[in-house]
Amino acid sequence: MSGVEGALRRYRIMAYVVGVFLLVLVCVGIPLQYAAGKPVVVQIVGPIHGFLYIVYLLAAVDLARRARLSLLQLALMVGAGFVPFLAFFIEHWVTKQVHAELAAGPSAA
Amino acid sequence: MRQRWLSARALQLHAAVVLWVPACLIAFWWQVHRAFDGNGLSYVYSAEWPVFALLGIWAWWVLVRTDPEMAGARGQRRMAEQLAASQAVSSATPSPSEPSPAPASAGPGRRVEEEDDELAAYNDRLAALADRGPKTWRNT
Repeated sequence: MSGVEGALRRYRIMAYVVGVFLLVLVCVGIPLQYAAGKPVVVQIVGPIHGFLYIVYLLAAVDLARRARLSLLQLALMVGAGFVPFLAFFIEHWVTKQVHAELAAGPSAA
Repeated sequence: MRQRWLSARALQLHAAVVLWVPACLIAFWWQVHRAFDGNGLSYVYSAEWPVFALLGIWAWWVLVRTDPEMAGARGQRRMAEQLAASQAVSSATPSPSEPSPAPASAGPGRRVEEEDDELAAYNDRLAALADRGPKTWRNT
């Protein structure tokens, strides 16, 4: 099941990266733009988050197909990329479920 | 494999992609308008939304082709049993390396060129589920 473990690792890395960039965007960039009138953080972090989200989606779909995740799980993973803080909770939940599936599965080698 | 495209999960995926792609294209069009109105950031977002639409189409295609009935470890155990059975059936094309019906070591997917498309796809899925994960550009 090395394919699943690699996909899970890629997904987890991207979940944390996208989650942190989204927090910077929402907690720093947007207040600076609308309260202080300085849109520079949004202008830099916004596009970066967008492109990282593309990579995150690739990793999420790759994990969903390899680990046979449900569509609800995949939908939550997709939503976690643009709802602040959700990425960390969903990453923890998905990781727990995939590990449980790996432990229950056959070790066909 | 018509039922693959008509299963409950496949229909949900069809519905999801039918909503996802137009939503991305509407957002793309909105960002194009904003970009032409002088919003520099929207030029970047105009490039990202079509990628999201294409990603949705790719995910739809990939996930429909992933067997919906074989979810999780229970499905993999079932597939391992079916793999052993299918190797007994496909004894007309014996494995060169492994005479015993051990799952996953003699993957039927290695003999795709000798099989018709449907059987090859089925065997690929068996082999993938037995050990390696789906057949992709990384592990063909």
